[in-house]
Amino acid sequence: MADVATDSIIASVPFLYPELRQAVPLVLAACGGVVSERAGVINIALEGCMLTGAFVGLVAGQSFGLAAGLLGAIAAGGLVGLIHLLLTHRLGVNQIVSGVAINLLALHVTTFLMRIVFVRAEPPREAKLAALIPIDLFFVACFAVPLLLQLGLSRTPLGLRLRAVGESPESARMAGIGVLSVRTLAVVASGMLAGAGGAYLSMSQVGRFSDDMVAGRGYIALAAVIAGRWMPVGAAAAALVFGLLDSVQLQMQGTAGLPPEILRMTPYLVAIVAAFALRSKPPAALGAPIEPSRS
Amino acid sequence: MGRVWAQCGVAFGLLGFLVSAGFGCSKAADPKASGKAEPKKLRIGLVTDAAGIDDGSFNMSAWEGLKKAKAEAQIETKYLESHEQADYKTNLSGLAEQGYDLVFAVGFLMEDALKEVAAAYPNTKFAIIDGSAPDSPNCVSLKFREQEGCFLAGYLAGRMSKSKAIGFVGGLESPLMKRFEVGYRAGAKTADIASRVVVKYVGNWTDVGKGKEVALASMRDGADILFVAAGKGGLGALDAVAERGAGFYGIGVDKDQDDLHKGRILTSMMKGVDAAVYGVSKDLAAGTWSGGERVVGIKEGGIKLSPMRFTKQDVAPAILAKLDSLSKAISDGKILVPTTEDEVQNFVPPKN
Repeated sequence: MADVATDSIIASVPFLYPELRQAVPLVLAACGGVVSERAGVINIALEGCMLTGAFVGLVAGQSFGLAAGLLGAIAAGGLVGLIHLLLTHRLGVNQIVSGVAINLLALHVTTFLMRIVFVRAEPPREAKLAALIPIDLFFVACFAVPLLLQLGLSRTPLGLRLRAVGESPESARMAGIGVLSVRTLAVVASGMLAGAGGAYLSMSQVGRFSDDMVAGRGYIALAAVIAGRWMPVGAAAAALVFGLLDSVQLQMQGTAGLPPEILRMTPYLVAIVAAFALRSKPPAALGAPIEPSRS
Repeated sequence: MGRVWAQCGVAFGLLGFLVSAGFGCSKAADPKASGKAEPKKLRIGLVTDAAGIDDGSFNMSAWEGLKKAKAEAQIETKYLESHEQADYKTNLSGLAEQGYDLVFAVGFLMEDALKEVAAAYPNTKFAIIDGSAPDSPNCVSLKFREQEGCFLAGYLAGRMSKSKAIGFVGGLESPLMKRFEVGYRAGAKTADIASRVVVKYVGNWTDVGKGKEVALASMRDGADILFVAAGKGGLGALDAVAERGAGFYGIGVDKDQDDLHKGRILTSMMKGVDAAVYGVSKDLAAGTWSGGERVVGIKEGGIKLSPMRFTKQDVAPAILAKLDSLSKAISDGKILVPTTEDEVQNFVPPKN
């Protein structure tokens, strides 16, 4: 295939390449969603973590190089995760409310900062990178991360503790597990994974930042978490399918008669159907607050 | 308990501050806006849509038109930015309430809000860009025959394509976008009756990543020249074309985007929003305001292709000459460019 982009070894596999390009951010964010939710914390803030990661990654990448940008994006995502944890577990804010507030806040803060740093700068700069992070790095991550997480959750003591906290914080506490520390770790890790997904968008897929560029991918990742039955590998598989559907949608537009709107609603339909058909059961204590004073 | 409440208070105070920093982007452009205005000085305001004043395109162009009018006459100007649908009414009536003589609403999304506000403030004049104004003497609607410029872009792309397939990358489907699309397709049909047009839409105006994927998909489909009208997503689409390099071209939209990727953007379909805003403002200043609808196209200079600063040498003189003659034929009314799917299906390309 002479006319295929040459930025990836996978580019020579014409079927897989465009699908993976679309799936990477969904896979990373969905893995983040699993980690947080298995510890009992609903993380609707994935979208905000991704957007913040995308912005910080681009700004840091422009000034200090791609590696620093990527690390910055991951750190920024983790920080947003930490804010979500503090709001929900220190100040008693409802987990859904906090997540939605963080997403709106991230959207407006990044838009505002984007204006200051780039558009209104003298002279105005483009929010653009000269070079991109090799996309293969993310392709590898998008297979390695779910596998490692799956092993970590099912086979390590920390994984066991995390699941225990998500199923019954009370019993976990009785067993001597530091519930709040485990949840903090889980939610921060969740934000970091979503931040990496954001870095992919702004630093590898396009090399640009524009406001609201995450455009709902965080919510699709949440749908993948449900469709994947709160398992890292399952969620990653669901995210891959969603990426594939989106890619097929783009490819079919203009050639087939199917309205693209139908394909755009598919991830959510699949998530709802999966929740029923697979009898998906969320972690028992998902969304349940824990008593800050007693944890 | 008291300590917890204090913590909550601090946290929400901080949150509130950050939120207001994010939301409160409505700024007066003229710091003296509320100062002592001389009685005769005209006051003209502008309300942007969600893309913001510095979108590098539509809103920015409108604001530039207003600034130009300000430089030439005694006019005081101000803009308010909208972030969501609910802001339109607030911003439009806000400016009317502050006694602005003329308020511009940028974008067809403000049609409904304008209908309400214009009726409530009969002494304020309103102008809406790209949308229909309510039928009232204090309103004017400024529209463009974008299809004419898109026709020229389609013709140029059709003639320049090596693969005999060209692409159209749109933002979100709407009757307005459809006019872009069918004008482009009619132009392609005129260039070569057999050339294929790959039409794809991103589905929104902000997703740069998706914009790039749409462009990649179009090029995989065989298109080698893409007309990109997809807002910020379009930046990603043009990046994709530039990355593919020689043999591929993008075509920009709304303003002269040729310098985004020098030599890889064949031309841009330019829409004179600034000229329209300037014209209405000058009319008001000269006391020749009239309501109703003003539609401009190639003939009025409101629609044209960019001067092709970086690509002119790549285009054969015969094609450039033909573009000129087509442009003239449109402006003389000899070619009626289609605006709907039915019209483009039945469109018969002019004979040379």
